[in-house]
Amino acid sequence: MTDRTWRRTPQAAAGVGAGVLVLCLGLLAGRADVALIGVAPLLGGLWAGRPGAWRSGAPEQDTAVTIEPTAGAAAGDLAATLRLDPPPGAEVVHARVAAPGHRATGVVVAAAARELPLTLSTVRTGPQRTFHVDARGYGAAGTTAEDPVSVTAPARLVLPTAMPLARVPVPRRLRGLTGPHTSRRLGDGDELRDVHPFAPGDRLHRIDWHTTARRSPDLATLYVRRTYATAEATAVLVVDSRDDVGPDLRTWRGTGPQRVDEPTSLDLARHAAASVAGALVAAGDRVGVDDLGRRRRPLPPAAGRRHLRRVLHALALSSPAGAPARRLRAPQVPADAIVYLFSTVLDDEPVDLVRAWRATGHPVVLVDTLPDVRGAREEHMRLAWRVTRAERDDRLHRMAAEGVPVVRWAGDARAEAGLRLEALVRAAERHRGGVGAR
Amino acid sequence: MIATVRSRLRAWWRARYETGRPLPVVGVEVAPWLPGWVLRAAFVAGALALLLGAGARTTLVPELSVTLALLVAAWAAVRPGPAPAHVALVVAALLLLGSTEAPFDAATLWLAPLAYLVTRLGWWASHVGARERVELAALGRTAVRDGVVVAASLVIGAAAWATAGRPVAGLVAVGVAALAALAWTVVRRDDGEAR
Repeated sequence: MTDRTWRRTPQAAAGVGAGVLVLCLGLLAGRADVALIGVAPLLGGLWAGRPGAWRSGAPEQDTAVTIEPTAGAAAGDLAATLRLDPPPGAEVVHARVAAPGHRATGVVVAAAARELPLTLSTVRTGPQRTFHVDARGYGAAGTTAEDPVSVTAPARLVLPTAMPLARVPVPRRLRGLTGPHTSRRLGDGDELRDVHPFAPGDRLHRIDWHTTARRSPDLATLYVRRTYATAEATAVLVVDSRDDVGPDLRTWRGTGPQRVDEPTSLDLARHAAASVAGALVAAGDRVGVDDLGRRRRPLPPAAGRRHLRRVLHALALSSPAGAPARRLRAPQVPADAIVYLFSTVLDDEPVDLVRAWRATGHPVVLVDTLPDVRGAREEHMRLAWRVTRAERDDRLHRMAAEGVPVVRWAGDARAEAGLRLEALVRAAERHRGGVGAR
Repeated sequence: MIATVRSRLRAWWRARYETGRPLPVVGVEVAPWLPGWVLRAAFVAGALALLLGAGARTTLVPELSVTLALLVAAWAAVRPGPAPAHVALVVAALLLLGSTEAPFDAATLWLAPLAYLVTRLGWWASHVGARERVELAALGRTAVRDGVVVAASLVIGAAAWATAGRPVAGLVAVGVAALAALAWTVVRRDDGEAR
């Protein structure tokens, strides 16, 4: 089987055919002026020469097409460089650059080794398919064309960005002997607890000589200043990646493409979790990540900037693997940890999980990540959405009635989410309720 | 075709109105460029001008040549490609047969380049979408070669004009040699072998 790359085009056949026809017409009629009209198309269809290579033939090799990812200029931009290297003899190269969720752009460039910068903008996060290029070289006057060369760029992992948050709720009961918070235990710290007679185990540098001189001038009893120990908070970010729904109801069945300029519920969940994780890590607390859509080991809680990178990667990779099975028990979280659940609450499973965590003493903050849904034109979809929305609202009301803070993280409410979290922190400071403040 | 048009209309309606805005466009940075619709418009205008120009040289009923020109121009606008371009060329040649300035109408010295330009624009119009970008450098690269082709045909035209109406000894031999060269070129290029 012959593997042909360059072929003659209909342009060549039409040029030769029309040229010969007009030439014959002119000859038969004895009209040189009529015959002259057919000369140029005939020449153009038969002659493959070009400036600089007047006697050369048609090209023979493929056009080399590669896509190399590059760093985007701005957040949300994905960039790459398209390299075109056509063979000698090609006159122009026609490239069509497409990307999921974007309108394709076609360009025709002169056939020479070229580098074309490509960009696309998206608010989507996680693994993203990017550029697909179909390129085709054309010979002299389009009389020859090569078979299209298709190249797809490798998928890119887009990490979620974080919104700066001031304070976020942390559990009231803290863990460890060091950290940014003051615990209720005695230990090394800055906050004074009391002044107490010296006891075995007390360090000598803690003796308060002023108090000792005032209370026991004969130094019969030494007094030490005792402080509260410091501790750190632990938070587990649980992302409900079972649903990845956008504002368009028609895409909820998973058949239609989702727009790249509208975040889906999973994008909002990643953004919210990254923001909370950033605030917690900046405060020196420990953060872990779990994913309801996947059965795999959760990312255990830890602190530090390097761990924050691990958290962002885990969030970017959170996505459902197949059809997630219903969990029979809630994911285990460390003792005294606060749970942030990022969910659309489109079914009862998040509600059951919240109740299970709260029953074991874990404070829970429910972050609602369902985007603002656009109304549908179709009557059956409108009806289905009314029922779904009513059930969802009922679940959220029940959660709120049971004392679970619900923070909405979509639409206009996303800008106010930081204030809502700050309000929760202040409420905890006032009432010493289920969640504390960092 | 109707189904394709209907599905395109539906997709356009959904993208434009049901989501509120069209999909974003993939960004490609190129050197100075022309949008594809300019070439399409130029093709239609060129075909119209060619046929009207050729029709103006004839003694035919003007309405007939104008109708023909409009029909071909409409075809070129709806389905641009080699077919309307070369049909326009052949029709122009047929119209020129009716020219009163036999045996050589000097208008062919501008009609022939225009006809070739129409065939080239037909190729561009059929290969480039209305919103696609054509680098000026790509147009320039093809223009040099096309210029050489047009110049060669004009040289032949000038020679034909100079000898029109006069018997020239040996011209028959030159014609035979030219036909043989043409046949050899065609056979050599389309021998059925892979390239």
